[in-house]
Amino acid sequence: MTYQWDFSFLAAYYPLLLQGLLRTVELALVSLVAGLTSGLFLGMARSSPRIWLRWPASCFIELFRNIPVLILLFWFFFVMPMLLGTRTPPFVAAVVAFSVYLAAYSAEIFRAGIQSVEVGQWDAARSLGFGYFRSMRYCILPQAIRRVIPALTTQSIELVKTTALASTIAYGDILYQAKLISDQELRPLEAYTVAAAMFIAMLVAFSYLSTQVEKFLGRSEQR
Amino acid sequence: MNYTTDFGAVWRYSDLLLEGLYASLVLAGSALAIALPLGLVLAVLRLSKLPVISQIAVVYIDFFRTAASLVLIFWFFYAFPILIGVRWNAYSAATLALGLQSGAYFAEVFRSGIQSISFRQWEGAKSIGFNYFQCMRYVVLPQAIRRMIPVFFTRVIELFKTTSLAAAITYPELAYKASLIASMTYRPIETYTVIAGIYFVIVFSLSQGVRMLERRYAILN
Repeated sequence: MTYQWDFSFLAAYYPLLLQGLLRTVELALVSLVAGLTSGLFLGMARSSPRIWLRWPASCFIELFRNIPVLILLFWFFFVMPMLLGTRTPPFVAAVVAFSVYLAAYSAEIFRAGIQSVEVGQWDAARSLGFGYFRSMRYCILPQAIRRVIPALTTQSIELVKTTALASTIAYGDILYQAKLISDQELRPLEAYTVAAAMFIAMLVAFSYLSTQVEKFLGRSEQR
Repeated sequence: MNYTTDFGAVWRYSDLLLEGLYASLVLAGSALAIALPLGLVLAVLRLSKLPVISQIAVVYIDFFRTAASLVLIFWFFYAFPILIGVRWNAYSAATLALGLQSGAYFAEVFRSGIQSISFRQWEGAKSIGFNYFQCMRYVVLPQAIRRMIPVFFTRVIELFKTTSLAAAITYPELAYKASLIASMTYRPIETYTVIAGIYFVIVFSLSQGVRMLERRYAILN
């Protein structure tokens, strides 16, 4: 089998691929910010001593961790227009589905981090006259977050990969553009190879960046 | 808002749902059959003392862990057959894509399990005259496997959830059947709610089972 590889036609589709890349980055960034922020609050609620906070948080987390993200995506895509009464663009449905999914996963990571901080730290913060929120804000969270950065990075990389699913509801990300190109040029091999390479390049850059963040945040522990 | 839900429309197609569930389980099983041996081999290569061999394993593992599952599935469905010159179906493409990717994930599970065993255990085993394989077989693996159990089954559950992506290349599993039913009944909300419910029940009971195993096999320090 000798297949003539020919990537040259892709040059003509350069704007399309670039657009796909931008859309993927946009979707990933918005979902990451929304997901991680709500994950942090969910994680705090999940590790709270108050049952009326802990219980709803646990239900939310268990529910969204146990459903495949593709099903969530379809579900939000079809249900949101019904609930809101207007057309929802695929971008909105994708952001909601991915943030909810990331929130549920990262909440467990934040919870693990918060619980890994020794009880003595709470006692110390209380003895300085801090209440629950200030103990959390100034004493517990800074230590907890530093410990869970590697796990959060892994989860965030997973999320960036997951955004490829948005192509199934016709959001114009990298994979969707690759499919368009492959259908027009009848050259799936090159189109999907380029899509895969773009994802890998993006994630290698992302993981390099997060290693730097990890080093930066870890600098006070090394003293 | 005056939308009346009708779940009866979905239940009329319950035979399709059962077929889909069966196809999902078959796909997960076949992918596991590739991933487990592959993961074990990769883990052993990764721990090899020869840098060339361990680097090959590292490159493989990193490549498959950073590639998006859906992109891999598309690649193996559309691109791979052209490359090797055979026609094949969605089942083989999905099995291969998910199997090769999970292999990389399982390799990391096995490796971290083996590495978590203190080197003193190796020294202890060597000092009573065990060779490498005997150390592995009688001392390291029995302890490593116990530690791996929770992570291992979490991965298996993730794999089961990932099989839903095979719907994108028309492999007739649960999520694909859902899109069929949704377009036949014009009731996407009910259909996807039912499907989400089915996945939730299965995955939730599996993960509760894993928690029980975890408690049962916990190593007391």
